Amino acid sequence: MSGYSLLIEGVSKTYRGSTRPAVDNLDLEVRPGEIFGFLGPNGAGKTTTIKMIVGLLRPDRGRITLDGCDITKDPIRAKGQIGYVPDNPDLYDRLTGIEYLNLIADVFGVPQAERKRRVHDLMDMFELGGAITDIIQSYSHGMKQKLALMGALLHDPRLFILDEPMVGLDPRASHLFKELMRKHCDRGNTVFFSTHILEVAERLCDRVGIINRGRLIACGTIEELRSLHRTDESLEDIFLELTGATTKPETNGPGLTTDREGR
Amino acid sequence: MSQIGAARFRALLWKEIREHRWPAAGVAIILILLAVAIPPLYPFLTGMIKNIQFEEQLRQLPWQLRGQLEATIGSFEGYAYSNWFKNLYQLGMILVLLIGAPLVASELAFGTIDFLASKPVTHGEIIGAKLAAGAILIAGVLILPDITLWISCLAWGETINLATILTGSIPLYLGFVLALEAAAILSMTIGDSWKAAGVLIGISLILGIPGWIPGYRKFSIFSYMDAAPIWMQGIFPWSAILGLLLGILVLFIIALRLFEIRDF
Repeated sequence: MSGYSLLIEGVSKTYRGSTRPAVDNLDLEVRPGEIFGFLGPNGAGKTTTIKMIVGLLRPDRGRITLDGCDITKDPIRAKGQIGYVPDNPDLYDRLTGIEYLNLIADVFGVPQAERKRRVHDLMDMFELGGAITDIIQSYSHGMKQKLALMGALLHDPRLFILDEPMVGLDPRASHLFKELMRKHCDRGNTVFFSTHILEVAERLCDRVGIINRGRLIACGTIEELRSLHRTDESLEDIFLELTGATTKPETNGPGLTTDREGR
Repeated sequence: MSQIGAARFRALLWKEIREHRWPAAGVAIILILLAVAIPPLYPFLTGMIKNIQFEEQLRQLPWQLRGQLEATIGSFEGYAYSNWFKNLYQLGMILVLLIGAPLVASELAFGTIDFLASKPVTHGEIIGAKLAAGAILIAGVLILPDITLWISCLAWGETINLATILTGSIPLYLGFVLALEAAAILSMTIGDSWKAAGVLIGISLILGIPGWIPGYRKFSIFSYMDAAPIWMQGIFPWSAILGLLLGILVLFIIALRLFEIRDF
């Protein structure tokens, strides 16, 4: 056991045909029982990092271990601990909702009695009961997102990884989902998710990591980031400052704004 | 494969069969209808051919068509072979394209490959389940109409051995599995179902060209799928079968290797 749920050590990845690394020498530790928010602007390397964690991409360098298990050396055992929801929940349209869940349960080896109970609980939680026997093709984007979340939670994963999980969820489902993430962590499991919604990260995460141009530029609790930057500003302001985006506009007069360079 | 590995493989296999069942069912229905129609049409067709002054026109036909017509007139076995296997071959290849071309490309196009590859299954299990599902569906599509043909023959008073019909389908089946693997490899490397199907059709046409040149038929890969030795001469084509099995093994290893080294 490494003592960490997720340990990323010196991981780099450059896509074929590109000279710039998508992820550059990334080191990151995510502890058991915490909700970790992974933030960054578009193209910062969030999805590439997540795809490497879940074994979809192989790192060019470095090592990723889940509960001490190397994802490249023992992918089956490592993936068995993960529940993953990609940014766009592309499901098998020709299967029904329940067939999809049964497929996942079979792949993860969830026993029949346990799967029945979990499917029932998750259906209640996400209010998908009426549509569970319909083919997925007939689902709305939000329903697909709910089904993908149900599928990712069905085997009670040690590490729950989500790429932009709030997109497509209605406010009620979004609220339920946040509660669920907290409960999941309270049982000693870990949640790692990327998001653009900084308010959610600020409210929900125990710690956040900010990635920009493939490099981790900040990591810690919101309070730690604030004290590091000697500010009481929101996570959004810290994020904008760290990622080099236009900072909070300063009004020079009616209708006039400046950025840091005073332009 | 461990017990858990076997359960995972079964789950993937089931999913693949569910995904591809409709094209298989469509082709199976067409073949079953054909199997039902072949025996009752025999007296009608042979009667029509014999009643017209055909000898002269027959000599002017290309040798491939002449052979087929002569076989048709000659005996019911020849007629049934000619009309059954030619259609089985063509419709089977269409099924191979329908199943094989989107086998991996559709997962890439719809993003579902992320779902599969992030689960605790090996890449070998994924591609193995895909190919096994395709092979099972193709087998089903061949066996059901074969049995239908046998029943239909019995109903119209013609006797053809069921074992001959089924054995005759073996080289054809192995050829389809080989083509399915080729389609899967193209589907994986090209990443587009339509383009993969187009390339496979192109390759098939090129490989089939020697079959149309007198004396060069043995250089056509499709000549090894022919059921004629079994139907017409009662000879089991061992060398063709072994050649096809070897080809299946080689393409399976290539497909496995290509899929294992692939990033998603």
